Amino acid sequence: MTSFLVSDEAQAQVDAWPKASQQRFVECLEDAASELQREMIQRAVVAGHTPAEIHAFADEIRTLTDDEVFEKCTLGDTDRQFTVEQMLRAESDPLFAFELNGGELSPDESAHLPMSTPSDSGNFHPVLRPLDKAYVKNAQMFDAASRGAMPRAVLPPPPKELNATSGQTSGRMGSLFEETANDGTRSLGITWREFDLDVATGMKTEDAIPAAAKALLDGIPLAANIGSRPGDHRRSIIILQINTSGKSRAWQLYEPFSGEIVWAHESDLLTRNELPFIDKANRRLTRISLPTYRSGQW
Amino acid sequence: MPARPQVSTPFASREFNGEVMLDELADLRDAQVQQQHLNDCALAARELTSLRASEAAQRLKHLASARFQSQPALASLLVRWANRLKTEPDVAHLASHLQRLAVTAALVSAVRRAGRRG
Repeated sequence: MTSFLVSDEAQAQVDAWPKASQQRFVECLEDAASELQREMIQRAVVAGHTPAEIHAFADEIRTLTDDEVFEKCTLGDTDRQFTVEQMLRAESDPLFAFELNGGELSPDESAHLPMSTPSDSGNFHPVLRPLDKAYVKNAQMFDAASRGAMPRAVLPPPPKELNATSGQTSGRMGSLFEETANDGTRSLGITWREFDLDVATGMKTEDAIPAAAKALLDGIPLAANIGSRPGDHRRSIIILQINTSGKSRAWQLYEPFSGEIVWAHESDLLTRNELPFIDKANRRLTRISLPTYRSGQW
Repeated sequence: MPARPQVSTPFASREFNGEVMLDELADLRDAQVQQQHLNDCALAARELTSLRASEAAQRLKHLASARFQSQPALASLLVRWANRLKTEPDVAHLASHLQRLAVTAALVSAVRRAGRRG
C-alpha cells in the first residue's frame, strides 16, 4: 500500500469519518492519477464535503488530465457571472468549482453509512502521515507553473467556538448539520454551506443578507443560528420566507424547538440589536447556511 | 386585453409558505412521511408549472392515487391543494410551496439532529 502526504486540515476531517469512509479516502488517493488530483481531493475534504461526495468527486476527476482538472476545478478566467460568495468559495473548494462549471456528481451515500459518530474516530491509524512544514511549502507550488497561481484557501477553517448548549468547544462547525442537510436536499439539486457571521474567518451580515434574500425569493428556505454576539450560536432557526411591502422587507423566522414563529424587519437583522423572539438574548444572526443550486431550476 | 389571471386567495395568503406550511409539515411528520417522498413530490411538482390549472389538478390527483398511494398523509395533502387550483399562477405557487415543504423538512431534520449531538 502506498502512503501519501495529507495535510493536517484534511486529516482532521478524515479522522471524524467512519472507518469505511476513511479507507475509501485512502483508496481515492491511491487511485488518483496525479498529485494535482490528490491535492484537489484533499482540498475538497478540507472544504467539508461528505465522504460520499469526495468519493464521487475523485471518481469524476480520475480520468482527466491535469489541465482538465485545473480547468474544471477552478473558475479561472471565465466570462460567466458568479456571485462574490461563489467565487470566494470556489477558490478554496474545488468540488464546488467543479459543480459550478457544470460537473455533476452522483454520490452513493449508502456506501458510506453509518454516519460519522464520535466513537467512530480515534482508532484510525492509516498509511497517511501528517503533513510537515516542508511539504506545505512545496505543495503550493505543485505542477502549476504554466497555469498561474493555484486556488488558495481564502476561507480558512473556522475557529474553535464555545458550544452554547454543552459549554464545550466543538470542532469543525456545522459539519454534522451540513452533512445531514446535504443528504436531505441533494436530490433536489441543493447543497449547503454554513458561514459564521461577523467573525474574522466568516462573512459579514451585510454580505449574507443579499445572498440569503436571493435564495428565499427563489423559494428556498434557509437555516441559521441566532445569539447575543458573534460566535454565540444559542438557537437554530429556519428562515422561511421574505415578504416585501413597499421598500421594506420582513423575514419570517421559525424556531423549531419552541415552535415560535416571528416576522423580523430586515433592518433588525442588519442592526443586530434585537429580534422579535421572546428570548431577547437572541438578538442577531450568528451563522447562516447558504444554498448552492442552479438558477432557473428554482 | 384580457386581465392577467390572479393568484387565488389560498395561494396568496402571507402564511401560505409560513404557518400553513409548518402545519402541513407537522402532519406529515406525525404520519412519518420520509424525506425522500417529499423530495419526489417536489420534483414531480416542478413538472406541473407548464400545465393549465385543470391539468395540474388532474396530475396531482393521479400522483396521489398512484405514486403516493402508500403515503396517505401526503396523498391527502396533494388532493386538498389540487381541488383549490383555479388559475395558472396557482400552479406555480403550489409547485414552489411543495418544494419549500421538502427543503424545510430537510432543514428542520438537520437542525434537530445537530442539536441532539450538540
